Amino acid sequence: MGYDVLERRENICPPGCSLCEEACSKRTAKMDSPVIRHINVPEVGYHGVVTCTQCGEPECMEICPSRAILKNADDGVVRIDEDRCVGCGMCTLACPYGGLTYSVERRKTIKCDMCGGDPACVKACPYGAIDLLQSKKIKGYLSNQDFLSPGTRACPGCAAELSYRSTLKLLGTYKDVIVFGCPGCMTILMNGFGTMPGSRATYVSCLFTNVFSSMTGVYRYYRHKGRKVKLVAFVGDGCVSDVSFQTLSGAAERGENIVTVCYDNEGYQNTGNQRSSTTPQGARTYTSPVGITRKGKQQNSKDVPLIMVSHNIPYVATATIAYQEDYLKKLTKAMNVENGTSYIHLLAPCPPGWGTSGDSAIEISRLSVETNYFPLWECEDGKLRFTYEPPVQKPVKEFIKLQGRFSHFREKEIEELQQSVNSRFKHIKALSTLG
Amino acid sequence: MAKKHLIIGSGIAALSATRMIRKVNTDDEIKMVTMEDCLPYSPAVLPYLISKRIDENNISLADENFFEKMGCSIEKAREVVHLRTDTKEIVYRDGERDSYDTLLIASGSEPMKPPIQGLEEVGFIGCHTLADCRNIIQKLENKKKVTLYGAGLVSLEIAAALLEAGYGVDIIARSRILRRYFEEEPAKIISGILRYHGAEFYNGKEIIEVNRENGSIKMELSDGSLLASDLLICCLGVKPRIGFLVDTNIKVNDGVLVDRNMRTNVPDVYAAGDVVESTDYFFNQLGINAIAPNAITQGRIAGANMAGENVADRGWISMNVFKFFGHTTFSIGLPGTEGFYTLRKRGPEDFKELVFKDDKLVGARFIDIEIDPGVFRYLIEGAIDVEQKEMLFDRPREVSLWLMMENERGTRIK
Repeated sequence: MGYDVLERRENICPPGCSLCEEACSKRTAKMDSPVIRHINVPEVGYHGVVTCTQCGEPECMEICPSRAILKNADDGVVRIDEDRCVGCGMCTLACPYGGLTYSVERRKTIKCDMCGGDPACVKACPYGAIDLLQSKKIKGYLSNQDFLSPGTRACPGCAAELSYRSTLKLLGTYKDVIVFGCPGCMTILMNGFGTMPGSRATYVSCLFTNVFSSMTGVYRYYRHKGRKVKLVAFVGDGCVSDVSFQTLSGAAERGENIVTVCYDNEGYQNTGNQRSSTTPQGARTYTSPVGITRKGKQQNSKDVPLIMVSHNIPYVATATIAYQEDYLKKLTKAMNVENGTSYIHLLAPCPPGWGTSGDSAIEISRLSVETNYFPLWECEDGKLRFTYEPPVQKPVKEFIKLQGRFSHFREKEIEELQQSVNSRFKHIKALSTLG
Repeated sequence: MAKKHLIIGSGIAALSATRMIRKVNTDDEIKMVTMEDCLPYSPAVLPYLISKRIDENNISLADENFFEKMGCSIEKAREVVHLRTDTKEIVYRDGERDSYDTLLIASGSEPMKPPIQGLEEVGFIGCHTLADCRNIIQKLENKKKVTLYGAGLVSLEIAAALLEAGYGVDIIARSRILRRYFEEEPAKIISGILRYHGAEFYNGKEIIEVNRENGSIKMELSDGSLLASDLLICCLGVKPRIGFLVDTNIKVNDGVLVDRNMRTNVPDVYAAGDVVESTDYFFNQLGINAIAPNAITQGRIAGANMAGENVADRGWISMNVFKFFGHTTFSIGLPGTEGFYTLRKRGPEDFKELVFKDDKLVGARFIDIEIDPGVFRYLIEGAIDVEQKEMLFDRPREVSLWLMMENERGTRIK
């Protein structure tokens, strides 16, 4: 289950552009009114597009006096049966989102039918303002079961929790998986709380310092016994970049066949937001406060995924939960690696630690990619390539303005961070061209 | 414990309530009782049966599949004549009874009959049920000229259908056309278009007396003039169908009185749709608003509350769309009377009007201007602040969509 939907992003179309409308009117052999329409309000600097959102409970369907509008249960598309439509226009009164177009020529209502799953407007837009979100594909990666226990003990809006949930759903499609964890935010979802287990995954709780050496031991035990198991560590940036870095580096160098997913919330968030080596320069944490002499963290952050690339391991990737299909693709690739260590670095915004609102984790994850703060790439057998490149790079200001940990930033600091983002991106870009 | 929900009526409100009950609760029993002997249909489709834009086989609002999927049984051709709220029972015409745990009265409306002398002999013809419509279609055969008494939306829809089919149409309005939706000036544009297509209007007149002479119908109007025609159809509006509630303790005025949760004064008895008299959105004044969007909202709310939720309506807003001969009209909310900030412009063939109270949009009317009616409904129902009034007036479609999008995202730039 799960339906594909059109995603529309605002304010990235150039003014006056109507490529989507033109493509839409050519969707059938005879020219027709477009059912996607652009809205251009230059006075307020707004430019976007509207079309049907394929609602779950379409009111247009309920109001139609001739039952001409039906939602298809298989693909989720709301379609108008032209032979039944009498052209009364009641549906246009029911739809609050401007999703229906009344065609005066035909005296019928017409609407988007997603071009049978391959929308013409998506192909026509070079700016990425319209995108086809293929949730059907995403669901295809996942098990139907939710492996986390009911209720969550994570903070409201936690991106790591969401990532862990979908990670387990994907791991649920594999046989003989053992999850490894260590002290950190996700401990409460892994160990459980009181007498309640955290999840239905087989789970080994390690010390902060020895996750990957423990995994090595367990892996070799099963290898000795002749059993094939998949070992997956879901650990935080404190473990990976600081405390257990040595054991990870060692395991990678030895080529242990283990998978590591690092949920990077850029600090020791579980213990109250202390700085870690992935905390960005200038960010406020409990141990890098903002005062008269010091303004946040003084040092630059460690680029762990690139360090892992330098280990020459078979698979390294970056991911965020905002690009879920991308992440699941990458995790599947990592799970299928047979000849060594694989590593995924997953940015997981932390609402309490980063000083953001509880509903913003996905938006911030998306902005981290769109500003090139956290580019999405993968390095397979030494070949680095971008898995998603934003069509237009947004200024990093967009990313930091939503976060309290950067609230002391003035023009100078923003400019410095922008420079650092640009130079890091240039570096990765250069690596991607090596082929 | 599973409850038994009984629904009187099978119109839009009844169907919306069924969907909502089933959404909230999967175990309860739902039973629909209707006096019609066919599957549910909407009266809004009837004019299109006359114009033959749709076949009678295609007008059902829900098919057998729907009832199976919803786990809802439907009893057709049964008329409810009485309620016993003390024992929680309904009484059918044949004396049989049926019990309920919660009851929804969605019996809809019936056409108003005008006090015309001689109407009984000539025969009253309305256009509110499928039977009425079949009757009209049958009577139209070999006829040339039709008189419509009343100039509301239904009347004009039938007029457009008849004009398209080549009949001559006289429209007698007691005051003027579309009084509920448009003021005099914009109404003139609409009547102008209909006149261009062959309609005749008699405004501010009533029919005093009718009689049949040599197969045609002779009418005497209030100003003394005489009219002749082959068929007289009365569309003077509708009134709630509440005859069966006369001797019950359910409070009625013109319609069944409900609060914003669609509850009547009797516990476990709800009402929704055309049968309801409830308070409006702007002034909290009681009134009847027999339109389809209203029926959906009220049906959903009644259904949710019947299934154990607690949700309330915002109150009704008058609105409608009318499409004829390729022209489009839309009206919503309050007229631009004194005390409101009104922007109005009449073009050669179009018309637009926006009515504001402070920063909120409270009314809008458009004739032949491309807009999305639902978006204006969204702006009014959501009480969205509109500071860019002139901009909205200049480019209503784009600016209304922008306001809607900004509000949906919750990041409105002010």
